[in-house]
Amino acid sequence: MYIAAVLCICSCKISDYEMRPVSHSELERYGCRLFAENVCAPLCLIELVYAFDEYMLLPDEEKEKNEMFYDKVSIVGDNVYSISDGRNGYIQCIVNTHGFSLSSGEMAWEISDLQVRVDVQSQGMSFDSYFSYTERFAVRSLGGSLELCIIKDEIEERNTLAVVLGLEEGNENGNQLLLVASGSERTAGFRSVSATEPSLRVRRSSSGGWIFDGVFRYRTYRAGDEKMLDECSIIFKPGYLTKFEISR
Amino acid sequence: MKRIFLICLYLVCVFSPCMTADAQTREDRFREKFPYKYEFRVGWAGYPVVDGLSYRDRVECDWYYGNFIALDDIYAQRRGPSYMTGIISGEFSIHFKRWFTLSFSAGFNGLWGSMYDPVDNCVSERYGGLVFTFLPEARFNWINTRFVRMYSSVGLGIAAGGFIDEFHVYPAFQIAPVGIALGRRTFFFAESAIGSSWMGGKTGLGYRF
Repeated sequence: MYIAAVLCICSCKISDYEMRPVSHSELERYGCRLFAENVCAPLCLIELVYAFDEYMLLPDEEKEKNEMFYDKVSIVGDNVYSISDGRNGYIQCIVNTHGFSLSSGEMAWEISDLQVRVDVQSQGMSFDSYFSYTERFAVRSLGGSLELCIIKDEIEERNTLAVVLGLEEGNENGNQLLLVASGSERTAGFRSVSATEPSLRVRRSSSGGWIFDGVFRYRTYRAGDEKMLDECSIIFKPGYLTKFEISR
Repeated sequence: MKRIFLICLYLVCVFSPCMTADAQTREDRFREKFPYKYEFRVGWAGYPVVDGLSYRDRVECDWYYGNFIALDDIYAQRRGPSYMTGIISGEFSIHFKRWFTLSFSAGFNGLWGSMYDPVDNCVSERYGGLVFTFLPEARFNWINTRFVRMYSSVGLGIAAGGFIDEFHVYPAFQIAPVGIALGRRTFFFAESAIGSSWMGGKTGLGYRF
């Protein structure tokens, strides 16, 4: 009777929560999100502003032939334009050119109100998400490469990001790019640091998507603690499924 | 008409003393075999449905907005399973009549659970709570033998309690369609019940005096 009573008491369960440790799938999903936010989205942005810079350098009669930007650019202010591109995913932002060409390298362009939809469906990865950035970005040309970084907010520094995209040396076709990215994310209790190791080769496939070759790695920590919680490496190899290596 | 009225009045005058006497005799006969005025019970009742629903969190799910998963989604403390004791109550009853008993029940339902850290999968925090219920009940006894009493009851009261960071006060309402008490001075009881305090049944032991 006592055993029955104990069993009855134990059966009075309020919730079905079970103890569940951090899982590989959660870390993989977070890695995909970081990759999309710190690599793919900047890649979209750099492609867009580079194409816009080329468009702005065209004579007026040549601009009419450009389907990407002609009749699709809004003038927001002095040297400030609102541009968008919906051909692969979707991206829109406000660009302040300061009156200079990006390729001249004289002045960095300032990007704000960036909204981008990243859709990666290749190499076994399936990720489709929409990002809206409150941060402002600076894009500058450095000796043939394009560099993107978050303009640091004096009041609150939550996330950092730096991306450099350039042509791979010895690449005759000019269709293989070398991308170096590093970034960090900070919440109230945790932080993560991510980077390409050391760089990613990137090129467009025949279907319009990207093909990556290289390693993207991130590590997580408790805020204010140097002891690593988890590490995840995303390994890309053309022609093969993406591989995740997780420390846990 | 007047004749019919006089005949009915005659019949009432003749038979009413007999009926009254019979009722008195039945009550007296009951008291002879059931000389107890009061009783005290201790019991356990379950399942406390409203307590469980009041303190049940939203269902934790693995759905994230699109594919957007944040660091806090992965590493924040998570709730483990939560439990209740069921309602453990003490009850004091007064036997007014053979067919009617008034009882006052006071019970508590203990709640407990834990939070755990998903990084190293260990308990990081334990928490508890208590719900107190006060329930006056009217009990109608429809079988009264020397060793067996069967009854139905209805009660209306109040419940109040807190768990983690929530506190609720709500009415308590119970109907027990069938209950049975076996024994004389010391007895065992069991009853089925539906209501806001518990759904299912109540069982326990009592003492009459």
